[in-house]
Amino acid sequence: MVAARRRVGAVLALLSLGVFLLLPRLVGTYTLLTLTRLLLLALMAIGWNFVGGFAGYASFGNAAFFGVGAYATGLLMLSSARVPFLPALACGALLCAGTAALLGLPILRLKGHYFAIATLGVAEAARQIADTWDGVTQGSTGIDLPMQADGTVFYWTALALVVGGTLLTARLARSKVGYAWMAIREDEDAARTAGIPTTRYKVLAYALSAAFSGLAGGITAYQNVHVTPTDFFKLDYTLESIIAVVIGGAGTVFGPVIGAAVFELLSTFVWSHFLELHPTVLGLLIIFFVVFVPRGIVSVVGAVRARRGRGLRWRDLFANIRENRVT
Amino acid sequence: MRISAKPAPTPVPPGAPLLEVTGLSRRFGGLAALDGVDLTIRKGEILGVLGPNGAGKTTLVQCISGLDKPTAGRIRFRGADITRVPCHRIATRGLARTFQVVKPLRHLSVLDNVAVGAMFGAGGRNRDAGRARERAREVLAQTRLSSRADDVAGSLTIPDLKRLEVARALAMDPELLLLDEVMAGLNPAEIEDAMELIREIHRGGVTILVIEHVMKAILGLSDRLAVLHFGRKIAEGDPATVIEDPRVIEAYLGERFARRAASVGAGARPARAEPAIPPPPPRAASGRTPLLELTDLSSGYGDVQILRDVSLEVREGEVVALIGGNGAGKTTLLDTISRLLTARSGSVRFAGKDLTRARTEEVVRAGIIQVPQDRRLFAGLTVRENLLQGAYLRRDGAGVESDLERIYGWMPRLAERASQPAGLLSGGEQQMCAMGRGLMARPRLLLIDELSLGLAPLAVEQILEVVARINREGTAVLLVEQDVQVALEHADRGYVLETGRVVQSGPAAELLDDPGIRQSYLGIG
Repeated sequence: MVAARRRVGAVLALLSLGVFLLLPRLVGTYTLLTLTRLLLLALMAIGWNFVGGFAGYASFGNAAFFGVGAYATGLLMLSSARVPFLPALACGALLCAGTAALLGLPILRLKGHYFAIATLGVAEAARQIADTWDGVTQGSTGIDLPMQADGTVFYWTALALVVGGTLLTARLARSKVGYAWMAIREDEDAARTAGIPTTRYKVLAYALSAAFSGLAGGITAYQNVHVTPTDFFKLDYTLESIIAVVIGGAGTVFGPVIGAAVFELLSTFVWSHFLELHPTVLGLLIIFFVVFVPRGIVSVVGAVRARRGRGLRWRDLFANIRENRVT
Repeated sequence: MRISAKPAPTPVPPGAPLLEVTGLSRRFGGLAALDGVDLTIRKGEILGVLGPNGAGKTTLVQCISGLDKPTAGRIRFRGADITRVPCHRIATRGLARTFQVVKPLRHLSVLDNVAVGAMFGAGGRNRDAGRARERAREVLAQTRLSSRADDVAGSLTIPDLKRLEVARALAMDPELLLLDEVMAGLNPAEIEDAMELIREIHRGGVTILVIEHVMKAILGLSDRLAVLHFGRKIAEGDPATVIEDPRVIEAYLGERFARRAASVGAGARPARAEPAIPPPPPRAASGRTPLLELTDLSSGYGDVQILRDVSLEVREGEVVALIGGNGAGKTTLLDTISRLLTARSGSVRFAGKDLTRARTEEVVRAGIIQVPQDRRLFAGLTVRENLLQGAYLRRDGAGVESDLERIYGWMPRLAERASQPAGLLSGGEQQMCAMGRGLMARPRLLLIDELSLGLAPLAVEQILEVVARINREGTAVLLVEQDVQVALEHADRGYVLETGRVVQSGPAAELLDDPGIRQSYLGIG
């Protein structure tokens, strides 16, 4: 049954991949831009899912690595070596992973709220450094990357990375790494006494998460051309990726991608219909999801499947409330 | 992630020291949880560790497993010093433990919980995730959990969670297994099963340290006994000798239990000749007005129905025992009365008032207080603050103060720990605190879910005296208790619950003599 379920998942994933492969030929520049934004959010969400979804360490500072990835990619492309985009992007991601590993050793000793606050600090510190390190980052003026006229480059790069990230998540989820992360999330003491070197696995989760944030940042930098500290070390990027993961399903393989798609489509829809009330309406929708589907769309799909696909009932939504409410 | 392939360690011959603890101390601020303990576990034996609540038994396990580090002293395992070795590396060297306060990986399936042990424990080095799941299936079969393999661990009952603790530890292929109260909450028949399982594990070549308050089990299993009291070892040696040691009787067993335990130790099962605790004089239970009336009550979780048409009555001033095996629906029944769960059908009436749809706080206000099985203390508040939370709805400040003093008098251990956070209490002390908090509300009806869970025999005796006293003062009690004999001896009437239905009820003395009940729940055939 598990095998059948995975086959259905794989077929659906391939179908949607097919759609994403065809779309650039069918839609205009504006829609392509929206789709690229969707994929970049998915990339951030895939990253956040490793540390927040699987290992249970809610990072509120992934925007730091979004910014570091953006600057690293940009500066390498602008350097005297004139590094091409893709190698520059890869170097940026590696730098992010390395930085996260070093930072992770101290801050991953903190739990819960304390870890969240420490990561907020990381993001703010990174912004300050970019703002004041004039010799390298040009301070608040920012840097300008070479122009890329072909908008599909960003789309294809992001799509390839989202596919790669999802495959990686699927591979890790059923491996020792995934088990170690989930055990840490559920009960760290139980994980340690079961023989799991928790520090090593937490650092791995944090570094992977940073690398994916860096990739999203690097692509965004190349797309936006102009990179400044305020535009890139922005809490919004972190928050949107967390929302995407929560909507889709934390600690699941497809949750981040599904959540990013739902969030981006909702956001676009709300922009076009409620221009002035945009943040309000979007906020209400997020509340709706957190209240009715707190364990993500993937969990509802699972509940329906458990009854062999006899459709979605309202009770499934309320079941989520029943399980998560404060009595 | 696993890197170094270490050379195979030389095996420890049977009878040689496998674990040596010397001068072990652990202080928490001014409190010495362990104070210079020396202890040796020999390869191939089962060592039982006894001691009153708060004696330092769990702290000992915490230090040996590396989750806590001692203030002083040394621990050697297989000849190597592990005092400062990280917890996970101690585990991979062949030492596994269970947790008294269970630590399941709640959102993972039972199978995956056990697979984690198989993946990262001593035998995990050469197993990938797939092979670890295969090994987990074997262990689930051995621990009789196969039927729950695909359920999420969070949905298990406490006895099943205890078994899951054993299964996860066992899947680690340990050489030394530390079992911290895995039998608490099991009824006598289930204890027989658990003992058989432990013997089977032992026959498989695993050396075992058992901490348990169930005397029958610890005497039936242990080759040697060690007794802790206030962080010090006060006795060690052959079980029959140790339980006759006057210091052990005074600190731990209490006179009456000592007699009962001695008869178990001698191999004779107590028929009913010697009651554990002298039951209160029989009282005329009939003719009293009904206080709690359940009529055709059905209830459950999600799609799962647990209770089916349960009718039950507790009259004014009565003690009623609720008996049933693991998963029979006892906790569900109490949770439905307290309105932590909603009844599917049927009604709950209390003192003439319909409480079927009342809010939990209204149930409390009406005078029904539950002492939950998992204690649910406020971990960050002190013991005193926890007790005062129990009196939240009361407005008589002076009465609250005097009740607090009364409770400290009944359970002096709570007075000693009054200003410590409840989260630092030992398991048994937490149970006392939960009882005390329940009593602080001055309930008309007290629902007690597993009174003796985690309590030393002497403490059980003390708390039963407390229950008898408040009952004499007019509080009715609905008692769930795994020690069916103790429960029925202290009750006026009893109900037997099986798979969510009442299958038998009547005066407690009659139930206690019923052959069916004696076989199913007392393990006496």
